[in-house]
Amino acid sequence: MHKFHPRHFAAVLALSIPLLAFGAERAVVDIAVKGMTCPFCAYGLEKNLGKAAEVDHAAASLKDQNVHIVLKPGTQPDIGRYKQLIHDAGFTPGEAKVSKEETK
Amino acid sequence: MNAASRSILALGALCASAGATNAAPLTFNTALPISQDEWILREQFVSMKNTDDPSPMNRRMKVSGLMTMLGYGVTRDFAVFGVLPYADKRLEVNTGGQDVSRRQAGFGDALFMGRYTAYEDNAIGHTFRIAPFLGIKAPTGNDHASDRFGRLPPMLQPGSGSWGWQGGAVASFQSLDWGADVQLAYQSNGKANGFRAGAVTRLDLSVQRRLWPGTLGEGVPSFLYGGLEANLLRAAKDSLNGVDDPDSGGTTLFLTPTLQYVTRKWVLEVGVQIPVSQRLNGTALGNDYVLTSGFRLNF
Repeated sequence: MHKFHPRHFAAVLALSIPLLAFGAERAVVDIAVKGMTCPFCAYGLEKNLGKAAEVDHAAASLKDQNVHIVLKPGTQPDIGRYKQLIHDAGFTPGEAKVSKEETK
Repeated sequence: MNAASRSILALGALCASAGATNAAPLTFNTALPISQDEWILREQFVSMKNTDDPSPMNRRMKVSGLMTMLGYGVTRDFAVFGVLPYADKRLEVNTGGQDVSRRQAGFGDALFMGRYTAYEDNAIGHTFRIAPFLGIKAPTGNDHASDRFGRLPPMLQPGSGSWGWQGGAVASFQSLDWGADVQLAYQSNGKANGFRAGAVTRLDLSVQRRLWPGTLGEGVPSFLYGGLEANLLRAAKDSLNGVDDPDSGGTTLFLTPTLQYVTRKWVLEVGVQIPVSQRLNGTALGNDYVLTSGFRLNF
């Protein structure tokens, strides 16, 4: 019978960490944006949303007239704050939808 | 309108365009937003030629300039701008059968301007805004420059030596496919060294159309806009020691075709102002064209 060695345990742990991370979920928020009409102003909107500490990144879509906000794993969305940041960028926020996605 | 007024008009026009943050007019302002805490740097390279001289002096004036504008969004509705022009002015005149050339380069008068969004109507795919603006011109440029012939005339001085102000309102409509702007503005110039450049009243119109891409893709694609602008400028006569100069002031209508390439972080733009109608007083020097090219950065 083989003896279990601490080196084996460390190897199993190291291999399982990426698998655990792959399976983690994070919240994403889609908010409709009224008044967003060109690439230059979309950048200002994305940058403004980055002020929220829990936001990993925000991506605007001119075609869909919304912004897709991806949160850092383990954080909760603050819809009111995001709508205020959209307002501060010069636009009018619309309906918001919260969902989950798996981190890759 | 003499060449001095012309230069001031052109610089004023560019100063007034300081607030442009979007697929906006090249030669005047816009009501489109600057986000809170957002900075915008705009550089415009200007080349202007005035050779349409009805007098026997055969005056020819060329101005090359660089306009640096820094804008900042204080709040979502209130933005401030600072504009510093640098110009190289050259005047050639025929006197006594000989051509005399006079030239001066330097930083001109700085403009500080505020713009407030008084009305806005945002909807999915379009926005409409009205924004009044008010600016102060400070006498930061040298107004005592001289050459081997003596002190240079006001038209060649980098600065005016006087305070001035400008104000007006601009309305903008912008959709994903096209945009339009209209502006009414007034620019008053102070008096220095006995000289006062005539006040300028202007009405501006602009229409821009997205030329590319034809259909919108995902995310934030870059846009190419084609535009046409019209500038109707009415300049009062200049005055020297309280006496109006009969060979200054007048009304000019410019048409300006423009091209703008707009990305998320920068904009490239070019346009040429063509004077399609010039009703100038006396022997005021007429304009040939004003070529403007430049870029904007968003940070």
